[in-house]
Amino acid sequence: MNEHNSRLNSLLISCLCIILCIVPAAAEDVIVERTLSAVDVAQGNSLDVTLSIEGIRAGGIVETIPDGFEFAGTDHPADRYSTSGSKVLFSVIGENEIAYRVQARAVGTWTFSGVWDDVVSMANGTVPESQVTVSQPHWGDSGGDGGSSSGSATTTTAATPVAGTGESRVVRIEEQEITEMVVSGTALPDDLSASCHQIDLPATVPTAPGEVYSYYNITIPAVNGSIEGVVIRFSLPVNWVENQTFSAAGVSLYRYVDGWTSLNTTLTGTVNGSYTFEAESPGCSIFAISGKEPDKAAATLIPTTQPTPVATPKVQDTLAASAAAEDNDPGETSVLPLLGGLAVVVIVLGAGIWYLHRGRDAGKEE
Amino acid sequence: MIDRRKPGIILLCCAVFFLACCVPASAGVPGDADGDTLVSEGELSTAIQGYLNATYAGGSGGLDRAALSLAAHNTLNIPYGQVVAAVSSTKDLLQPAYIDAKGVPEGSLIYEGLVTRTRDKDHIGWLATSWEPSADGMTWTFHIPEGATWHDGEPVTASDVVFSYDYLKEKGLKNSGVLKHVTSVEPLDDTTVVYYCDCCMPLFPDILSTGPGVAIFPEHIWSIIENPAKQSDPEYIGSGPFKYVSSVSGDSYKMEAYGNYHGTLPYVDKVVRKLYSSQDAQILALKKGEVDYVYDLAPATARSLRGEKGIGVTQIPAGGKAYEVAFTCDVYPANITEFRQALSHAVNRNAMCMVIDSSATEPTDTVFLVPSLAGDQVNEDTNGLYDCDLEKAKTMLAGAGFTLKTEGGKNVLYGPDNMPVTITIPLGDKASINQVDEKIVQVLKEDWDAKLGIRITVENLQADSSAYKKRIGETAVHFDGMPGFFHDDISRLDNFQKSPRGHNYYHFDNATFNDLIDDLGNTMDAAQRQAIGDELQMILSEQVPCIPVCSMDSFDAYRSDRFAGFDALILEGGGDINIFSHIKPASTEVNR
Repeated sequence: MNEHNSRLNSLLISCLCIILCIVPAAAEDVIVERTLSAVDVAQGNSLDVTLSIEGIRAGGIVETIPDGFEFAGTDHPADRYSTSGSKVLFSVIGENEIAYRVQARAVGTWTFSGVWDDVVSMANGTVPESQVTVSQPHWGDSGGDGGSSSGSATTTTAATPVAGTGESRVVRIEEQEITEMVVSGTALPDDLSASCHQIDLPATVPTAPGEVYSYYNITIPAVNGSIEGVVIRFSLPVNWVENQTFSAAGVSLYRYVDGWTSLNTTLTGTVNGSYTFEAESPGCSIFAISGKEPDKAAATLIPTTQPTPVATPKVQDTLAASAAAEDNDPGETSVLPLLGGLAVVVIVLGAGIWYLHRGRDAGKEE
Repeated sequence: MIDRRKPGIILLCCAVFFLACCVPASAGVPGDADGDTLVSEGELSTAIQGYLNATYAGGSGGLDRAALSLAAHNTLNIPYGQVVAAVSSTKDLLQPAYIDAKGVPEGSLIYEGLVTRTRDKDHIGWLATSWEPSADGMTWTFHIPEGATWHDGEPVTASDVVFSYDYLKEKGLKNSGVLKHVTSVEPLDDTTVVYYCDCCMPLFPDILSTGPGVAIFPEHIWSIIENPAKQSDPEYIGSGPFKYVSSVSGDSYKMEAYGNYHGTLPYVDKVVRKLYSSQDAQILALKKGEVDYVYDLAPATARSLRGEKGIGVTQIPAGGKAYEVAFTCDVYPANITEFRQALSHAVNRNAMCMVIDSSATEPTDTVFLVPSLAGDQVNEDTNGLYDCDLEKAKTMLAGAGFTLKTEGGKNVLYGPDNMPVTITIPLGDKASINQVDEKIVQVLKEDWDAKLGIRITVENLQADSSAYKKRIGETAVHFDGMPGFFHDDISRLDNFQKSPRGHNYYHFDNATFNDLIDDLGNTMDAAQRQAIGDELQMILSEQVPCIPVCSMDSFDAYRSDRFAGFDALILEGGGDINIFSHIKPASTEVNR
């Protein structure tokens, strides 16, 4: 009888344990799903990621961005997300959707993963994984030895005369990084146009110096007048620069004409998470956006004009980031004095104990 | 050897002192960076970021999961945890006769009144969202919220308010006396109800909320209860922020936040009231963490708790009782006005405060109102008139026909009837808490007995409240210890009016005074009311129906390491309903 009761009790306890293990998870009804704007994306292009959230009144979602992508921004309030390495940490307070953007940086098949944590019910779980393939850009023909160009990329718009410059035309470029060209010369047509394609480097052309972001083939159709020079304006994601060994000051536009020449490149500012630059070129050709350590880059610069004084964003950003961290993390700042105080206590305690031991030893000696 | 150890000992002491200084005396709400006891969404987001970083991104610091959960409950106003309050007697637990009990609506968390009153005489709406008087003050209109429900889900309507008034009146319950000037209560619509009075009632919200105030009960439950003294609603269906859960007879009862409450949800999820037989047992439970809140502590007990880690003590100025030496004005020798006037110079308030508790009492130099509560309603011209001057008292007694003789080395006062003056003072009821009445007698004996020759005997009726109440109408002198708020407004001077309903507490009957009280009741204008109040206080100063002694502070203690906001809410007043609806859990320990 006792044995029977014991078995029954064991069974009941086991059932209870199982129920206890199952019920909390089942009771929460939290659903977090990830939707990608595409499952295939070309290298360099953006991908929109949407997290739909059900059942979390307050908590967080941590997304792990795969190596082939980098976080490019979100409309989530600035004080409700942060990044840490490949992770993006979102605070969730009543939202049922969070959207963010990533940029494809490396070819391959990549997996987005994430976890959610409902801090009200103290339950957590995983966000189902999402796979996406990043492929080489599908370049279209660019003519000549301009290499293969991206079919989706490019190009031209009608030019607009630059007020007061007479012989200059501004050509807006729709390519991702190359944004604008100012073409100067004589007898330029009002409807001057240009073509810009992101390309794979032709086999006959050596690799450009430094860490290359991308290659471009820029051409201007034959015109009656003559082209004397081109100012090429372009931008680079801050995130990309920050992941390199050089700062924005080390970025240059290189032109290939029987070899790579570093053009006089000026950092002009930052817009929407990108550094903006402009470079002076005597004409069109194949170009590369690349970067090197500042001192090495400086050695290859052609000082045709006095560089515009620019900030050193990497250093400044670092300082700003640390300053922001101090401003935004009261817990951190409040802990430091306490730690200091505790250190003092430990030292004083240690000294006291040492003194007592010393006294005791001295007493024994006496 | 001693000399060598001394520096080490000093260093150790310094370290211990430093550590003691670092230990926080009380806890704030986790995640609440600005200390306002509310975790804003921004503060919660910061806390979540710290937690996510530490938990999922290899960082460090931040709140742990349980503390973050508490913070989120605060931000989202989701009730959390349990607070345990100690009570001293079974009558403070929910009793069957609660419909007619004191403490409703301030003391009940289940049953709401329309309003309660704060210590600064402001009013907090509970079932009423707003209210307004007519120009003549004879009609008061109250608005109750749409969508309010009783705890069983039935809607709360104006007809419940009407029913509550009719029920009190029909059943002849004690609380119906509170509404003696109300002639009828009518609903205008489902959410609007009007009280019609037979006179101007400038302080009608006060009447509804204090002494003891009137709660609103559900008609659909109580309409079938014939005898509220013997029957009750076993489900305790109310409309308040907390609903009844369970009880253990004579031990405790438990309530939980009512999810469909029409107002702001409480921050604490459950409230338990638990009976402890003595204050010592309450304090022990508080220290052990079994109880979170104890109230009405003796001053010495409260002082002993100061400095206890994790325990806060709130001292409420004049929050306790206001003590007075009261005369029964139709009993010899107190029926001689000059005798009362003479004795008004024979009450040594400072000595009494010293004996009672100098750090918790304030001598009352007015004729009735407590300055710290009544403010500028006190007639300054009547302040300080009852100075303690025994020679003056002797002279005045002689002028009143009393003769002081010395017999056998003792002073003996003979009255106009040539008989020694003997006064019996009954001890008991409100003034006997913490033996205050005995301490007042101790001082009186030194002055009245030894120096003025008045033989004083005491009659201890502390164990028999009803006998005490009967006896005070028969003796010339007794002591009163009414709550301080009975001394906070000129409207309270109606204590001294002889009304058609019978004697007042002092058997005081002054025609001019009685008329002025009627005038006061029919006057809405504040300046006119003050003028009447000044006149009333002047009459009291001349007639001396009582000699105020002192007001006493009250003391509550609470677990400051577990809850935030106790101190401010206690000082604000408004009753338990206000305190427990607004305290904020500050520790995951309360999630028990």
